[in-house]
Amino acid sequence: MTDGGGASAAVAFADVQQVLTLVAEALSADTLSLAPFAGEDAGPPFDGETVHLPTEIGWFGTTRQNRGAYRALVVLQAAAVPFGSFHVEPSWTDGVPHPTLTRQVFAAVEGIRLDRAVRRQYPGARGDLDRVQARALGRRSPLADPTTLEHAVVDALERCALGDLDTDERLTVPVAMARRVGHADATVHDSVDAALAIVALLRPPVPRTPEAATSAPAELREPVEELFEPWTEESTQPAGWILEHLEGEATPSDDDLAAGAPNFHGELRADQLYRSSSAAGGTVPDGTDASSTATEPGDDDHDDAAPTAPVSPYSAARAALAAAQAADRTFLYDEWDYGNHRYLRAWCRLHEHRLRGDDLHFIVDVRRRHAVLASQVRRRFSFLRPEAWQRVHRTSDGDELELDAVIEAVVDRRAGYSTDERLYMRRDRARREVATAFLVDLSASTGSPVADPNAAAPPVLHPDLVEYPYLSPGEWDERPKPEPPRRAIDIAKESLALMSDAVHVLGDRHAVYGFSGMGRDHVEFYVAKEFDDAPSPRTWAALAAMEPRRYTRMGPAIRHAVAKLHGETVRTKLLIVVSDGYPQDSDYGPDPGDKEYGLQDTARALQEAERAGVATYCVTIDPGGNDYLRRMCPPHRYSVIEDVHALPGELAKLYRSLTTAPAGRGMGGPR
Amino acid sequence: MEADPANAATSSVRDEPWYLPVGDEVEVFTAAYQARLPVLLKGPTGCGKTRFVEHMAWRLYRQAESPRRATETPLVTVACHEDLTATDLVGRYLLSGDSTVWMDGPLTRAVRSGAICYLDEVVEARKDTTVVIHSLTDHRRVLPIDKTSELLDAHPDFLLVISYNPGYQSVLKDLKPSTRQRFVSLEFTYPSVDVETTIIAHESGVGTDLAHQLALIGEKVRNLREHGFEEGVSTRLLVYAAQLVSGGVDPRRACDVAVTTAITDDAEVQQAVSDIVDVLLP
Repeated sequence: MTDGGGASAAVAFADVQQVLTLVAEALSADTLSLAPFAGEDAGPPFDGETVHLPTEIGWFGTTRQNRGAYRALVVLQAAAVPFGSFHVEPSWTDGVPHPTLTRQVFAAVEGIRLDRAVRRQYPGARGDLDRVQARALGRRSPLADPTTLEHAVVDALERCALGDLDTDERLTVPVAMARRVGHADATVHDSVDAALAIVALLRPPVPRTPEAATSAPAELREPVEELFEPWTEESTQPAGWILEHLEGEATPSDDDLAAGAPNFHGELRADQLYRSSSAAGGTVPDGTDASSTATEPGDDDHDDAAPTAPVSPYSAARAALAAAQAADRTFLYDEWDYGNHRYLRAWCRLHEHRLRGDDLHFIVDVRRRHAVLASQVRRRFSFLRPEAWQRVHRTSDGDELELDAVIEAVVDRRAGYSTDERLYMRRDRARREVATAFLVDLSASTGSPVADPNAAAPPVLHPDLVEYPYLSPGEWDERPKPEPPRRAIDIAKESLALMSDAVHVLGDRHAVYGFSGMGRDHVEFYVAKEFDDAPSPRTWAALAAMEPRRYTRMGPAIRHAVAKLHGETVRTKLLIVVSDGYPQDSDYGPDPGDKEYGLQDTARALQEAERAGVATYCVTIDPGGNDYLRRMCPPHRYSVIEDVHALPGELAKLYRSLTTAPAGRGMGGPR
Repeated sequence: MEADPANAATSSVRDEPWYLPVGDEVEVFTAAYQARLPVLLKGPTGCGKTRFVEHMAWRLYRQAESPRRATETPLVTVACHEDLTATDLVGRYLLSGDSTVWMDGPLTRAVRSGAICYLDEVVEARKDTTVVIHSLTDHRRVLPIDKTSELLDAHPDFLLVISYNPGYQSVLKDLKPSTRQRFVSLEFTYPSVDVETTIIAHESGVGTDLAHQLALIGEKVRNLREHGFEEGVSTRLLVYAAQLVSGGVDPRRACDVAVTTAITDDAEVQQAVSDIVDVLLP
C-alpha cells in the first residue's frame, strides 16, 4: 500500500473529505462532491460533479505529504471546471473520423494543459503534484512490444501530462504540438485543435495524395514530414514498432485501438476529464458503449406527471366524497382568474389531513445518512442570534433617559446621597421570533427516482449467469436486496427532517405541510407537523408518511399555509415552498394545457402572503425552474437547485440566511 | 455620555483618498451631487464603498476649484449597527449637573454644516431611523427634531449617502421600497482579479505577483461564502494581509491572521481556507 511510507502516516479519505470538499468548491466555484474508491489505480473519471479519491493514501513517508497528495488530486481535478475543460460538448468527437483515438489524444492533451495551468496558478501545490505525478509515472506499465504508433503517441502524451519530458525523439513532433497548449492563454479549444492535428498526423486521409498533404495547415506540413521520414526508415529495422499504416497497409480501427490500449496506471489518468458516459450518450475512451449501461435521466422530471389511468366522472365524484369524509377539516379559498382579472370566490375546496405514519426509524436513518450535515447545521444554527427586542430598564447606557430613575437620582443628589448612574433604558435582543411553514409539493412527479451519483455501479453479469445460483430457497429470500431507488420526495423528506431537527434546537416555531390534489374540489393539504407539535416519534413518522400524490395546485395550498401562519404572533413569518415543477392541475384554468393560469394564481397567492406580512421563498428542484419562478415569485425570493441531492444542505443555508440578521459589519472608517 | 453612541466619524479629508474607479461611478456620483440626489451604495462589505465616499468627498469639497473648500468637515460617516436609533442620529438630551443639555447627533451636524452624511450599512439600524431619512431625501430636505420641536432645513451642500448589502437574503434586514426608491443606486461588487491586484499592490506596496496571488485567494475564498461566513473575504482584508507581508511577515502567516481566522470561526472552513492559501502562494 505504501511506497516506503509508514502505515501510521497514511491518511484516510474520511479524514479529509469535509475540508477538501470545501477546497474543491472554492477552486471550482461550483458544488463538487468527493467520493472514495477502493484500489490503487485511477478511480472513475471526473465528470464535472464528483471528484473520486482513494479510500486511503499512504504513498509517502509523512502525514503531511499524504494529505498533500489528496489535496493535489483535488486541485488537479477541480481545476478542470474553472479552466474550462467542459466548455466543449462531450459529443464533439462524434463527427470526426476516428472518435476513440481523438478522445484519447484530446484527454492527454487537455491533461497537459491543465497540469501547466494548475502549476502556474497554484504554485503552492507544485511540490505535492511533483510527488504524486512521479509516483504515477513509476507505476505506469511499459508499452507492449510490439505496439502501434497510436499507442506510442498516446502514451507519450500521457507521460508528458504527468511531467515526463523525456520523450522518444521519434515522437517529439506530436508531443511538441500537444505542449503548445501549455501557455497561459490556452483554452480547451486549443486542446481540441491540437488533438485533431495530432490525429490527422497519425491517420492522414486515405488515400494519401500530395494534394491532401499540401491542404494541411502550413504549420503542420513540416512536422508531418519530420514525423514520417524517420519512421519509414526505421520500419525496415527490427525496432519492435508496428507501422503498417505508414506502409500503406491496414489501419487499425478504433476498436482495435481500444482493445489493445495500454493498461495505464496512476491516479492522474488524463481521461479523468471526461464527463460521465451517460451524459455523453456515446462511447467512453476505452471504447465501451456507454449507451448500454447509461441510465438516462428522465427528460420530464420537472413535469408534474399526470396519472395515466383515465378517471371516470363517477369514480372522481366518489373519490371526492371519500376525500371529504377522510379529511379532518375542509376550507374554501378564492382563486385568481388572470384572464378576467378577478377572483373566483370560494373556488377551491381544500381538505386538510393529518398525516400518520408508522416508520419510527425514519429520523434515525436520516440522522445517520446525513450525520455530517446534521452536525454542521446544528452547529451553525447555534450561532444564530435572537431577533426580537426586549426593554431593559435602568441601564448605564441606552436609547432614552428613564424618567423615574432620573427623578430618583435628582432627589438623591439633593438629599446628599450617592446617586445610581443607571439612568437609561435600552432595548436588547432577547429571543428569536420566527415562525416558518415549510410547504412541500407532493405531486406525482416527486415519486420519480433520482440517480444517486455516489451509488456503486451495479455488477455487470453475464446474461447466462443467474445471481446467487448456489443459494437454497431459504437463503434465497435472505440474500441482500438492493436498496430501492431514491425519489425526489425521499430527499425532500430528509431535508425537512434535518431542518425540523435543527430549527427545533434553535427554538423557532415551525410547521411542515404537504399538498397535492386533483381538481379544484380536491386540493389536499397534509399536516406532518403543526406549529404547536413538539418533535416526537409520531411527528417524525408523519413526516415519513409524505408520499407522492397527484397534481400541484399551488395557490390554495399557499393561501392555507399563510392562514395558518396568520395565527402565529411572532414578528417574522416565513413560508418556504419546496416544489419540483410549475403549478399544474387538471382544471387549473379554462384550458388544461395553459400553464399561465396556475402560474398567475400562484404569483397572486404569494403576493397576498407578502401583503399579509408573510415573507415567502420558493425552492424548486426543477432545473428549468428559472423560467417561471422569476415571473411567479418576488425578486430574490426563489432559487433553483440543479442537483436534488444538494437540497438538504441548500435548504439549511437558505433558512439560515433568511432568518438571520447578518453579523455586525466592520466599522465604516477609513481603510 | 461622553462617547458618541452613533459610532460617527468625522473626516476633514485633507489628502486625496486613493480610489481606483471600476466603472462610471465617479461621474454618476458627481452628477447626483450636483442635483443633490441622495445616493444608495449597494455592495458587500470591504469592497470599497467607504473609500469611494471619502474619495468623492475630497473631489467635491477639497479640489482647488471647489466652492465648498471652506467646509471644515465634509464627511460624516456613521457605522450603523443594530442598536442605532433615530435618537443616536439626531441627538439627545444629556445630563449636565442638575440640568440637561441638547447634543446634536451626527446626522444633525451634517445637515447643519452641509457635509455628506454617510450611513454605512443602514439596514442594520433600527426601523425608526427611516423616519428621519425620508424627510431629508425628498424635495423637503428637512430634518424634524421632535425633542426640540425643531424642523431643520438642510444646508444646500448637504447630501445623504447610505449603503447596504443586498447579498444578505434575510427577510429581517431589507430596505423597504419606500426608502429604497428615494435614492439613486450605485452597485458595487468585489473587483475583478486584475483590478484587485492593482488595489492590493497600491495599498500595501507588495509586488504585483504576490498581489495577484492574494487577489486570487480572495476570488477563491469568496466561493465559500455560504459556509459559515456570508461574504467571503473583503478587499480590505487582502490589503491587510499584503501590508503585513510588507512589514516582514511570512505571506502564509499574514494570510492566516488577516484572512483565515478573520473571516470564520468554523474550524473546517478555516482549514479549507488555509489549504486554498497554501496552494495559491508560491
